Amino acid sequence: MKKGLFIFIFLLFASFIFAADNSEFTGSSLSDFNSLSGVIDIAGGTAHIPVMNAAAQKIMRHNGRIKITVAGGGSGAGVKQVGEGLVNIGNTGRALKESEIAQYGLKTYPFAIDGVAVVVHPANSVSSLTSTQVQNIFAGKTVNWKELGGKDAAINLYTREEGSGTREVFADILLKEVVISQKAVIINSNGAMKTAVAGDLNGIGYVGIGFTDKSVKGVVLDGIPPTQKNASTGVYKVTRLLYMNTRGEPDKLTGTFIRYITGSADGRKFIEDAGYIPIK
Amino acid sequence: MRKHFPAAAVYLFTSLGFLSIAALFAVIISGFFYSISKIGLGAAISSFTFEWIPEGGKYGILPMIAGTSLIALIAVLFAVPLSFGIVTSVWIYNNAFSAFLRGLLRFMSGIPTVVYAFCGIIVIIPIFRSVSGGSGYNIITVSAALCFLILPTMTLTADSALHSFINSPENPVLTADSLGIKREKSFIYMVMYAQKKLLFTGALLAFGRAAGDTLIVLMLSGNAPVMPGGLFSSVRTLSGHISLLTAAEITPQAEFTLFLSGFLLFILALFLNFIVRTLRGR
Repeated sequence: MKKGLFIFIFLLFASFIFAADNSEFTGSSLSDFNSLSGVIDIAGGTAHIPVMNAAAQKIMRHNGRIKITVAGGGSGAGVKQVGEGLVNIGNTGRALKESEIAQYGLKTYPFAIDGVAVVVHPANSVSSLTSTQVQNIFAGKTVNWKELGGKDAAINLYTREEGSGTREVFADILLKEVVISQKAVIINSNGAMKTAVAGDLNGIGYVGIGFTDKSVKGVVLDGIPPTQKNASTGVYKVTRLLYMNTRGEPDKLTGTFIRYITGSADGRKFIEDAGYIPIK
Repeated sequence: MRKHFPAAAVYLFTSLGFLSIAALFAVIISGFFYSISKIGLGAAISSFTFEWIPEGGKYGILPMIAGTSLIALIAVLFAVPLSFGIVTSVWIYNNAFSAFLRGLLRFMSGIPTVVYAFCGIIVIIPIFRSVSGGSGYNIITVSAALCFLILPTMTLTADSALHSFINSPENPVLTADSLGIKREKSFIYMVMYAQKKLLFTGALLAFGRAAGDTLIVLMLSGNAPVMPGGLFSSVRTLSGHISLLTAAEITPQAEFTLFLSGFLLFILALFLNFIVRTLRGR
């Protein structure tokens, strides 16, 4: 029994080594990692995770001596953790504040544009709203879908936690001075938000456009559909940049990773696959 | 040297364990008082109010205290009949299925809480949403999921309580059998009655576990910082509050509420432990 387990583990490790050996040489930037080794810890904005994961997997498969961990936590956690030196890269879905840059000496690297879409259940008959309507809904003033031309059912509000970059963009650009209703259900990641709204016929929430798919319906806002195309041209206003941040100058490995995301063909592809628009 | 090694190791690890508990205590207490010194006593006391609106300078955490107590209490109310039912049938029938049930419960106690929370989102939320309307992220949903979390704690405690009684030299169950008393009756009126204190400690431990759990409440409660307005309203708990705010950049007064929440949970755990020990007569 024990012997079997041992052999199993041995084969598992052996397969890793073979996988590493068989990795193909793709993309000009991936070869930059050839002589490098070490660990990159990444945490922060949940919208960044698909991009980070795709890059991390490709790099680790290419070079087995590099280990990259990717965690969420939200933009607030991204700033805090990178500032305190707990991680190498702290992701934020919003620009850093002056105070944060001053306090921790952070350097920031924007790499993608993302829009924030208001989402409802696909079966909801309401599919377009004005900014004012959205403000009233999230303030808790409009409480029934009937008032918006839908069926007679109470609106279930979903919002993100304080510290979420998605919430910050949504609140700053779309809600402006409006304070989100105290009764709104607080969900703490983009993925969980999508699951929540996808399961609730009368729900309304908001996610990064990159997260929208068939399970939820992106609401046409002031006549403009929330697509990445509209976000990149600036027609759709509720947009943000996604940033990676480091404390001071990044070390060699971290710097190479950042250049791989921002400046390689692979990086562009990961960003587009995640549903965002690469910068430049 | 080799002869003394085990004893030395025991002392070493015991003192390390003790140190880490002391350090945890020190961190919470010192953070608590440092935080008070930063914001002033008045602001600290104002945390015991009913409104949490950081944008409006209101930092009341009474809704979180109410939320924690309520979900833990309801979870225990759900779990008590289930747990006592299981433990009674396990002992009455005392067969292969009983052994299977015990094994299952031990296995359940090792399942990560995120699994319960995930099942809650997939299964429990849609059920309560269709029953009650609303979002489904509410007190009943959380308590139902927590019920599964605390069921093993409560049942296994009760099981060992009955074990020690039934296997005592007098073996009261055999006596009852010989008097022609039905097993169901002898269990409910004799065994469980005699062990009621220990059964109660099981419920208390379960209450502590439910009140302290974070991930399930974070994912299922809705986290709305308002006083619970009924069983189908969304609530925030102390542990969920800590978890939600740790990630955010926050004002000193909001930070104080984190230490206060931690402190309160700590006190609750101490208090429950104290009662449990007293009841067990140790």
